[in-house]
Amino acid sequence: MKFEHTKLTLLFLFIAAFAIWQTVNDSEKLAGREYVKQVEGQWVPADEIDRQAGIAQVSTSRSIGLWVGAFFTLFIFSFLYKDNPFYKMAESTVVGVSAGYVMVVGFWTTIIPNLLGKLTPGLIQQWAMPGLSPEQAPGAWVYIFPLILGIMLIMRLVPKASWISVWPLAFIIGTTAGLRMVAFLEADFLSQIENSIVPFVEIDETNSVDYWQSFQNIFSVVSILACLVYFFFSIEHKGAVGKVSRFGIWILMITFGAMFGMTVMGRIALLAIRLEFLFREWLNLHL
Amino acid sequence: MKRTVPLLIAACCGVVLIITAFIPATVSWGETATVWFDILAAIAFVLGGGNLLKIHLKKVSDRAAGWAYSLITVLAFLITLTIGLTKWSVPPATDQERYGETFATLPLDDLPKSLTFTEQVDLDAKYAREELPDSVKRQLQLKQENDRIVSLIFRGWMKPGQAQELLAAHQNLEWQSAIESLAEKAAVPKSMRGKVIYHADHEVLSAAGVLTENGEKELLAMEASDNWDEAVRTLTEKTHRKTTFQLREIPAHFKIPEQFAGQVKLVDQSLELTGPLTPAMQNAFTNIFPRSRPMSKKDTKDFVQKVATLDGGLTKEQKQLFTALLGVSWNADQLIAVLDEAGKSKPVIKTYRELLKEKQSGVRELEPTKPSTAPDIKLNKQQIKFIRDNVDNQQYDLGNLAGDLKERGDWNTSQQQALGKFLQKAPTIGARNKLICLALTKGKSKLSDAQYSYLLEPYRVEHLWNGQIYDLLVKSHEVKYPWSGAYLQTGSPFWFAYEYAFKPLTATMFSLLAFYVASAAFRAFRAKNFEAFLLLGTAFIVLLGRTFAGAWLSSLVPDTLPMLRVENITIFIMSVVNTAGNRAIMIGISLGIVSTSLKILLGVDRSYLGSGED
Repeated sequence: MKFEHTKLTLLFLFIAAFAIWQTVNDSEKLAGREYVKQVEGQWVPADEIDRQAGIAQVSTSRSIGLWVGAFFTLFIFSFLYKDNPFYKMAESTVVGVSAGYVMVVGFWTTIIPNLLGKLTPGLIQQWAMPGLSPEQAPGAWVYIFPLILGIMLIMRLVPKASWISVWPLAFIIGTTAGLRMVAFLEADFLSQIENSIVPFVEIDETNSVDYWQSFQNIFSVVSILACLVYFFFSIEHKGAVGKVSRFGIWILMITFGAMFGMTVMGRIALLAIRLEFLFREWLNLHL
Repeated sequence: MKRTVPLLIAACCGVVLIITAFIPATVSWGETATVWFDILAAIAFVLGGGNLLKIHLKKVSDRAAGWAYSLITVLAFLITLTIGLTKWSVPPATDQERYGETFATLPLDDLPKSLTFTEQVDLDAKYAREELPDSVKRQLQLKQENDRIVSLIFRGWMKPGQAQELLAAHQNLEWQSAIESLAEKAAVPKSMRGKVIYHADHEVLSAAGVLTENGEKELLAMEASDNWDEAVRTLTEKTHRKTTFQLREIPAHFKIPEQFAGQVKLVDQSLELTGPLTPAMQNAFTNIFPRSRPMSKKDTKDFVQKVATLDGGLTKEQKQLFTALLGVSWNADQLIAVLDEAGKSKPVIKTYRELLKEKQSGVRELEPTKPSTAPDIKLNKQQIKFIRDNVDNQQYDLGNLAGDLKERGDWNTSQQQALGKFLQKAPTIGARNKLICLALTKGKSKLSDAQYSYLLEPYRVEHLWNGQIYDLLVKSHEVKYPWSGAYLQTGSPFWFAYEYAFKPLTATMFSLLAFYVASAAFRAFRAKNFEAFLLLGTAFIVLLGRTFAGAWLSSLVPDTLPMLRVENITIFIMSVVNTAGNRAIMIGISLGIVSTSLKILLGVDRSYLGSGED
């Protein structure tokens, strides 16, 4: 074992020892455990009042889950130091679990109700969806086509027949191109232009000119046009066009700066949530 | 062919979908294509899973570098997949299980002939050409002669929901009158109403609660056929199964409700139940706890004082809050207003047959209701006085209020129902005390163990009892659809994989980006030129505007210059400059997508076909 790995192992052992110590000695008896109560057959998280009332109990399985989640979080954070076996272990787990998760979600939310539920409603009703009508809807037989296309897609796993998987792929690409083209023209192109057409002189409730709003409207329209000029590469950006496109670049830079700021804030918020999970939910430490 | 066919498929699908977007009758094709797309995407996940297994299993079998991590991936994948696909340990969906009902399989064709109901009609044949609601397709037949519908034939009993769907299917009085008559004919006989029903979609005869000896006889008398007899006998046998449930604790004032005394017995610490526990029984069993009601000033003071004298005491603020919370309840005036409102006679809804008759007699403007013949009932002085005198008297049982008011004046069933609903809306004493504890322990305020114990005892007893009754409901129930539960049901192993592995791992990975974005920004953002300065400056202002430092800096700006406040600068950047920049980008993206789509559909861009080497 490399020296770095030994150091990390010792660090995790130290954290585990501290967490055990905190779990045992926590005066509120909240660290390292999850309390649940039963409501209509469901075990749901219990609050302080439930604990005081004596209806909450420590859930062994969820407490183990809490510890697993906490160590997974720490393993991922360990990558900040450098790549290591703990991180790789967590990474391998997330790949496996994510792949399994999306397959399960796809199966229960799409394949069962939208494919098999349409082709064999009686069978699916008896098995998994009692609320489904056993009568096949008129024209539902056409769902045999996505089934055939799906099977053709899976043929990708068979080397000799993998060429056939391009057919369903062509269907996916073709429908996406057709649907997206119309949707983007409607939702983005036309609606964005429509929303950009604003009055240059804004009148407020007292029938006087709202100078600030008017300035904002003019600035907004000029900025959009300037950005579009910058995107227009058919003419050389020289002279007046060059100046306008340079103003467009400034607007785009401010936009990217704002986007960057928002992204950083989002990530920091996520980080704060993870730290809160470790310190409050796991260790019950209110620093 | 390997390249031409896919090109044609892509072009045809895309062009057809573009054309259908402009034809109103074919707009739904786009929706269907989206569903097909989702199906293929879900199947593509199978492909992804297969590839994942192929790659990692090869690595494991070759003992290649990092094979142990591949093994972890494979195990995590297979475990998650197995527990998710099999819905391991997922209980059936409570809203699909029809608690309290017992099923016996009975195909539609085996229903007694007496359960075929015919309504002679004379309706336009257009109703036969249109789609019938799914719920009645199996049971309703429209018989036609000479291009007219001459009779409606219904197999089995019609459920109220089915009647509603049929009535709503065509907004035409002739149709609705015919359905109304048919629904009356096909209703479950009065003596059996609420006790048996036939679910045609599931082809089962169902009984609610216990099928009594008389009920069994009545059903058997309908027809002497083997299948029918067997279904009825099975139902009787199943509904007489005994369930014994050991109770951990019984509320002091619990008594078996009289209407269920024949089905449930309390023997020592056990409930002995015949048949399944119905939702009505569950409701009656759990609705036994007193509810909060107005309290007199003296009672309020005594209650607060009692808690204050327990270990720990109460601060002045806690006492004031406690008193105020106890005062938040319904009052006599509200109850009187509700009962007076309920006493007013309501207009009677006309039947469709009445409306049709009016229409045929030449009435042009049809009114859906007619005035009630019943007089308005208003509470008299004696009744009002009784309510005022007793609602805050803790010794008086509000369960007797309906009877006492009836003795003192006019009273009708609608008032009785309104009274029941009104009292049910109030929280139980346990729920009220829980809210009081929550309020009294907000912030740094605390309660002692003795105070908690005193206040929360009703909540504990109620929670425990309701839990036991729910357990009895489940124990006495025969599971009908074991696979109907949600795949991500809380507490199931798949939920555990999601909650304690997938969620923390993915959230932490994304949160790591905070460090890398900051580090990348530190290295990349150097104000080398004006454009870089703009980007850096905007990011700084946006970040500052969402921190305490931003608020503090803004406080230093004089009130005469509000535009220089950090939050106002941020608002200007986000709402004007950022919006303008984003609009230009989105217009550019949409044009890019349009051109890319056209290139694909016209076969100019063929990159999705691959190199053709595999």
